[in-house]
Amino acid sequence: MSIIQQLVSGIGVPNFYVLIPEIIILITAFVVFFIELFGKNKRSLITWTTVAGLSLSLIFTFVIVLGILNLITNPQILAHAKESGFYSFIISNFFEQYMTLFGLYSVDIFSLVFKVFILVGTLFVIFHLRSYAESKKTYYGEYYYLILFAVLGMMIMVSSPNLITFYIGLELMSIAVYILIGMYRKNYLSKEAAFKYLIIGGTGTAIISYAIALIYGFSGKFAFGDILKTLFYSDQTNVGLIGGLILLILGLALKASAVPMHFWTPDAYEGAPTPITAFMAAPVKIATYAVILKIMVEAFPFVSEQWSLAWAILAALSMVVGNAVALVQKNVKRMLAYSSIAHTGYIVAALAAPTTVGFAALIFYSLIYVFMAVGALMFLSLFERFEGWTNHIDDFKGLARKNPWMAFVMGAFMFSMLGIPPTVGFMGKLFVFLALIGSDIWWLAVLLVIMSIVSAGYYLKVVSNMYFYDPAKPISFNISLPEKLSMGILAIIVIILGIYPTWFFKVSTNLSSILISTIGG
Amino acid sequence: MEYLWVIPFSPLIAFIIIGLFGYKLLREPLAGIVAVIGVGIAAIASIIGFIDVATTGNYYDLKLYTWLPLGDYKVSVSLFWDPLSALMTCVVTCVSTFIFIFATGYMKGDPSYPRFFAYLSLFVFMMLMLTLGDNLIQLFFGWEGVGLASYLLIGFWHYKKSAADASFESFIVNRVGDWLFLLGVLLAFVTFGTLDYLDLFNKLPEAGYWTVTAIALLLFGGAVGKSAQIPLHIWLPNAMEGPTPVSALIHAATMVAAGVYMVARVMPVFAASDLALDVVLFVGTISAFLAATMGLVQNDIKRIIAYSTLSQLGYMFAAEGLGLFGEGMFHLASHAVFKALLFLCAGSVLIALHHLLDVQKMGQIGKYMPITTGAFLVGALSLAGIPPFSGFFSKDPIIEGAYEINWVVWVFLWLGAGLTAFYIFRLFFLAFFDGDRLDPHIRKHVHESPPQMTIPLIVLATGAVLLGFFKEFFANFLRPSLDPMSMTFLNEKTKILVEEGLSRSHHVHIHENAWEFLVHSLTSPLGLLTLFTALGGIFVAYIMYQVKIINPAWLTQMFKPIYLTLWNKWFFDLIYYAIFVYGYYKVSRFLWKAGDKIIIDGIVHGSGKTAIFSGNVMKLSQTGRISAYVLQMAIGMLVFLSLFIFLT
Repeated sequence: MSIIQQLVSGIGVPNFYVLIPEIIILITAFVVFFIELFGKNKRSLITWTTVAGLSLSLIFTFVIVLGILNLITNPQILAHAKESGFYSFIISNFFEQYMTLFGLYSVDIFSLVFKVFILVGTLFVIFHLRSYAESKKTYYGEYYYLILFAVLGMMIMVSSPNLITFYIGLELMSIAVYILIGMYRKNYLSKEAAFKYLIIGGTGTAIISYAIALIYGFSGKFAFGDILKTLFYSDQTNVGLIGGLILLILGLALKASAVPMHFWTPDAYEGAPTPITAFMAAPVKIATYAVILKIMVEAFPFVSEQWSLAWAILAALSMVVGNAVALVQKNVKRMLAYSSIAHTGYIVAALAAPTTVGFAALIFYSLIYVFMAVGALMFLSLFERFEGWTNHIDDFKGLARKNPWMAFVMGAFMFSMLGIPPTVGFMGKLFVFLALIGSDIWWLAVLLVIMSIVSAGYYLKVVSNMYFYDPAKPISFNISLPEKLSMGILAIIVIILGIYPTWFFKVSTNLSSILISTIGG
Repeated sequence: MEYLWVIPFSPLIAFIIIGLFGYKLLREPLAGIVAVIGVGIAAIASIIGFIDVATTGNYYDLKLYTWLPLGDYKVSVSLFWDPLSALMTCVVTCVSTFIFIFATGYMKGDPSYPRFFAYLSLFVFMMLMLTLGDNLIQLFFGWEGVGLASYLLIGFWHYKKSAADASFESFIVNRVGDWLFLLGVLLAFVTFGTLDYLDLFNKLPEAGYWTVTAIALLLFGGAVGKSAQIPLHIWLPNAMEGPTPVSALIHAATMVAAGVYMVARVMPVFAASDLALDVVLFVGTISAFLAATMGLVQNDIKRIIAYSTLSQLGYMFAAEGLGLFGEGMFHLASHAVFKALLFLCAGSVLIALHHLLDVQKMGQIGKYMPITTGAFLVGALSLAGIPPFSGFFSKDPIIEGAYEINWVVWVFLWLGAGLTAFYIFRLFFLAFFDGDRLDPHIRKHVHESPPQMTIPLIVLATGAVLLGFFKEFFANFLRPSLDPMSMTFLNEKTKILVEEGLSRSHHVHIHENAWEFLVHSLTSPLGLLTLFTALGGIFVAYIMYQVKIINPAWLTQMFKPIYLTLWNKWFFDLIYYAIFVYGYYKVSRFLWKAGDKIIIDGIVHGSGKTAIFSGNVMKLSQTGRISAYVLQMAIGMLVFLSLFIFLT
């Protein structure tokens, strides 16, 4: 830690070094931008620069995690730690929070863990992006730096200690994603989707701005900690506060595509190039969930009664509408869009139980959701490259015979989304369920189970089409070994985490106690 | 003791290796060898652990990790190593090792050779998870896992319709038991707030009598399904459609004994309720007797042995119901050895006769297959309970104990012993001696099996001869797990409760030393009566099927109603068919005819249709027009805002 600290201490901003991962992403984005502008035969170079930037940022995120845990330190302290018990030593440093940019940016283990998952999810997307874009004859270098800017926006979002930083991160991410959806330039659907999302996303931005204005009007503060303090000493049923809070929730719900703010989702997901859909469904989504949790817990713990009810209603609506409409979809990509609405329902349902267990369940579910969502959509992106594949449910018929490995992989993702042991999806739903029961919110817990059963209708249709039918169309698949391998890794993670969720669960429980510990801090 | 983790995971690793590389890299001999090595390592590790427990008398509760936190209780993946689980694990791994070796010869040339060994390794892994867990959830995981493996292996030759049907039947019948078992587990969790055996035992005195009885009976319901006791026994004879090593391993030695093991494992729960013990006792006794009578008239070589398995499992349950848990577990171990031996001999015969199953068409194969015949004779004598074979030392104490506790039970068990001796020697004489009924085409090819099949037979036969003399060792060995006063992991209250529950067997005195027991049996009237009954059964079989003084056909005519009842297996299959298959069909037809199509439709499809219909309705809101979207969103926001601002 100290070496890095010394390196950048010249800038004069305290704790500036915690910004290194973000700075790397920013520089990479500009480098890719210039390569794209001036380079020749640049496609491999762009991909590899992006991958290198993301990986480097990932490595530095880990370094900062180790730094916060005080593991990069002089040997004497480490030796002492080994004697006094390693786990307690790590825990003792676990709640450290580093503020930088004079209080406008905060970095702790909570935000770092989410950054790791955002970066990993993005790496999987980048890995499959080029072959997809080239096979669709829609390759543009802009994909890469726009994705990098969106990643930067998400990283700012999860690290924000106040509403303004959050707003900047959200806008940076959203604007990059609007353009990314429309990148499929020759496709009318893609352009339409981008336009729709732009309009509705703009509405969302307006809602959030107004919400921030109301909250500012009420408290005179932007920082989460300050809002909390004002809240503590004032009338908690103030219209300005409640109105601002509810509008903020609705704005966030729009970004997380919860019903009734979900209308952009199916069109945008279906119209976007599939790797971008995966990008929107996984990294963008978990950044949104993280920031929702952060704002609710850090700024508004004293009105948790209101927001837990609001999220419970949004969750219930999302589960019902998402699952019911997914049931009648014939296009698997669109089906997955509705399924992502339903998953938003399952995930924010955990907020209905404003307890440590509930927050832990939300964190656990959002982290594991990355693997399922990226996996299932990447599967589509791989297969869309082949002549005759339309993502129609009938295209899956007989896949197990033609390509048993890929069928197995897709089966694992479907079972995990459905929530059947030994896949990790089961654990995610179980933890949300237990959190709800623990807070005596039986109606939502029961609804969650019923809606999971309804969702079997469409997830299992994919599986049964793959395994119990003869191939319907003569499509030949040619999937390279690294692609098979990368999908296999995702599927195996989904299964292994289902058998051994302990470590993940520990992490999410600890992260949720970090969040709680920052209240009033 | 950390090395014990090798035991369950080496078969799992073998399963993964064979599953991944079985067809492409390993193929025929290598896949089998990998499986044998996997289970062999487990056997060696479990023997080392067994010796440790035998010398020190300790117990170990090793937790690998928490799988699932349920509120305050954490379900862990764990390994509980005490004398009881050590014995069961050793039986499973050692018997499996020999059966695996045998199977490398038996499955020779089968196109699905790697698949077979992958399934077998999976089965052993699941079985070990079942025996080694320290909580009911892990037991249930293993319980379902062995059920799955059994389903896959019975239907291994899935292109045979009978095999596919039998596997389906076993799956369905087992589900009935498993549901009861799961309900028992849930009830135990609700009552005690924990599922770890040790915590659960120590909380027993807090619970009411009827709660404990309900838990014990529900758990026993699972055991009835898994161990194929009456009335859920019908799947086991049909399960003989699977390859013979599967019958030997799963449907004789290990999986079907899991129910017996489970009852012994949660012995304090059963001991806390005399009603539960009585149910175990009577279900066991009735199964022991009825299955023996069904075995009298069968002609399929494997099914005869299958009925004897049912019957012997009944003896084990009867022993547990009598409170003689140690004797029950000892019979389990000795039965595993001699029954595996009998099945492998049958497998050896089948290979020689090209899968001819009907004993009426065999005969005189003894002279072509001397090793198989000798081994089968040892197994048959052991099953019949003739000293000095192991069956005598394990089965006779149960019969003698029953005499002192409940004479009705004794009568059935005693008659069952005579019938057992008769039917197994009927099979022996018909198949290996007697006249020459064998098809000349087949007889040309009859030959002794290769060494990888005969060596396991010889080893198991040696075991069947010697095991009985270790009676005292096993009794002392199991004491820390099954004798309440020596169970160090129980608290005082539970000890007293369990001691009271087992008081029914306190006045029974059975000599622990094998020699003393032998001398006692040969001198006391009761022992002599049992012995002569068994010898009488063999003698009747001899005069009927070898010297043919009595003609079996004539007997059949004489006692036609009895014969038909037995031939139809006491009509169990027919009744079940009538109720569940035909009855269900009739009822649904009636309902349909009565115009209730709406109700059935409503229940079966209605929920799906409602969902699809509402999906279609909601789909309408997705108009594709942005203005409509924004309008709907605005309405949603308005409703939301007014809800919170005006109502709170």
